[in-house]
Amino acid sequence: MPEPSILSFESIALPHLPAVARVARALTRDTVDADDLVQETFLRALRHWATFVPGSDCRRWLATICRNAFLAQKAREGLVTAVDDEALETFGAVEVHRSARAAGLEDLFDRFELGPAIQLGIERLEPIFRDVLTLFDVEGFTYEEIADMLMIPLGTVRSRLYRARRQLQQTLLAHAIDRGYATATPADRSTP
Amino acid sequence: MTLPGQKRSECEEVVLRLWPHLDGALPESEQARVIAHLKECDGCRSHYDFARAFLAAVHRAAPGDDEFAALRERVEYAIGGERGSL
Repeated sequence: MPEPSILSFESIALPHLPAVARVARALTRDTVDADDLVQETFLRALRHWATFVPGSDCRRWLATICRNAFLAQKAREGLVTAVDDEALETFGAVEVHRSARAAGLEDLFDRFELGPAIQLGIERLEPIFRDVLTLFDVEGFTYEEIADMLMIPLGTVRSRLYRARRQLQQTLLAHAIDRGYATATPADRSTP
Repeated sequence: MTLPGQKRSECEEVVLRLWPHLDGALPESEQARVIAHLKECDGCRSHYDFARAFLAAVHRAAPGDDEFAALRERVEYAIGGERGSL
């Protein structure tokens, strides 16, 4: 297997900086520490660039370096491993749908331009939920990759993701009702 | 919702799998079960459509990478320094 050219580092590794930065934020919970961790990740990656297999998943390789660099800096006792109920969150999302339907907003996400409200809603999520939603729904990491990176159980990844989505749905529904988009009130609810 | 020890209905079982189904994270056999149920059940289908539309809206609105421009400059600078010492 040919070694990657040292000159290819910028073109292959650096485009993944936003993904690495989001992983670093999720790990450190602190913007300044996260930026330091991103820099350390890329310097480690540069030093070990000869071990990167060309054509393999560079983003995942960098995320692993980021996690290892974080572990080298921090003791594990700081890590959060909240246990949540993913079933409860899933049923909660269905309740949001029922509320939307009762308000005449069944097609809320198709009918209205919600881009700015979604971005604001994501920003306002609690960090532990926002990070997982960003890593999955924005960056496209898998459940397993996120569990591995953040060193949390797979079930915790799912429950945090589902809670983040449910909270964001509730925020967007409230936003739509505040804007006067609702065409009915909950009293009009006629379907189960 | 079911109480502890109570058996879930088929609709509840499917609703529980809607997010992993949309995320492409279900085993093939469970995926087939969900798809088959959604074809038959209007109620669950509407929950699925609502969730799918929500995810599509989130993907359309996904924040860009502009916020990391300054960090990228900083890392590029550090890489330049590292190259000099390699």
